Amino acid sequence: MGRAGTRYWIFFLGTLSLGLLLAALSPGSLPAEKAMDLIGLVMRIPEWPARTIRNAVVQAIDLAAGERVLRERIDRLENENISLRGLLQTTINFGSGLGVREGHVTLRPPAGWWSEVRIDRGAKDGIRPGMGATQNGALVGKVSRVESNSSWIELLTSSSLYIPVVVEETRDLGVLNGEGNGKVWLLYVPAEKKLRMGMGVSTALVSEQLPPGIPIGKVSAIGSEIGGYRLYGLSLDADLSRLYKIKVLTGGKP
Amino acid sequence: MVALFLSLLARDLLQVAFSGTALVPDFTVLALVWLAVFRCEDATSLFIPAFLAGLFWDLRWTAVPGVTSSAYVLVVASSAWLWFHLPSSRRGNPILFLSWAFVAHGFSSLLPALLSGHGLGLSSPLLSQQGMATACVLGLTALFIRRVRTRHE
Repeated sequence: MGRAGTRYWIFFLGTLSLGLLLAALSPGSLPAEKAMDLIGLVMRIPEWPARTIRNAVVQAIDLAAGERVLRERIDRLENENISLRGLLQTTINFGSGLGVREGHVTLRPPAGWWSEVRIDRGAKDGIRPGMGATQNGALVGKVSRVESNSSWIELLTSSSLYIPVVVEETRDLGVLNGEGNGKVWLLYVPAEKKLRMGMGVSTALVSEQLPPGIPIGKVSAIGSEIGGYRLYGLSLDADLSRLYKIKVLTGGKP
Repeated sequence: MVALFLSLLARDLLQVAFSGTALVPDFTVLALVWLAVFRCEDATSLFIPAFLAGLFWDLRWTAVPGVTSSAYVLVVASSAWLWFHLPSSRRGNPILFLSWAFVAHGFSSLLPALLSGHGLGLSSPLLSQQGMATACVLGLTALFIRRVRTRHE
């Protein structure tokens, strides 16, 4: 290092300090999210071959295993199920274009682990804010922001997401809200209503973009009573710890 | 620097190809160890490329800008410092290079997980990544031996 010793330490400590400062300040900030979206957008071009190969390999494996036919059948049945549940519970017209659009999770910020994920489908694929997102037929959250080639899904475990839900066995209405740490609660159920463990919870009428009747989870804990209402803990049907693919429920009215 | 760019691109493309199934070994940190070892007399020019490479990776994959940058800068600094203070006779020792490359790889993989608190911990993807990295480190050590022999000739 010799005579370059001073420059060495200046560059080392300068870049290290800058890195640590960024790590401390940038998570969750708007400029950082914009920069991530930009990098994702720019890298779509060089990453295209790798993505194509991955999809081709997955399709080939599916085909070889005979799973493709089964998956298409499951997708068709899921679509029918969503439409039928909607018809059973509301007379609102969700439009004829109700369908699903599958996307891969491309980013899950550790700072907002239980709040949001980004998928590689966006406005160009017909995705709009407010649409529901599912994993294996169970709701995982709602689309919160949409870019042209990507969109962000706010997860059910987010503390800022409130979703009207219905208890399937009793038809009692309540509101689902996350705690931001992986836990999910059912709010505003009157204390005199006695819900039992294992009762199913699904979406109630929210908007014309999120059909009612999408399975969410089951009552897993009975919490305290606050102001005449009892809290109930929910266990989600979706596995948010293994969230690699998400289906967005497209169609419906904005 | 071409090696650094290519290693970063290769890692990104492989991570896209294996996303959801496996964590790709950190070729970039191995490239940085290589460059720092052979430029240990003046490694100053490596800090900014290392920082930018880490920042790119953070913005593309870890979503915590600065963590991988800091890890890469630390790896460059410690590699150059260590090799600079080694006696000339020991600088070509392949066992030392292999051990150091493996330690540097483990450090750069674990640091984001440890700092974020929501990382992978000691999960099986992280262990399998270290396993795959072992093969890469062995390959790099073979190149190191060849390079050292060529220099001596």
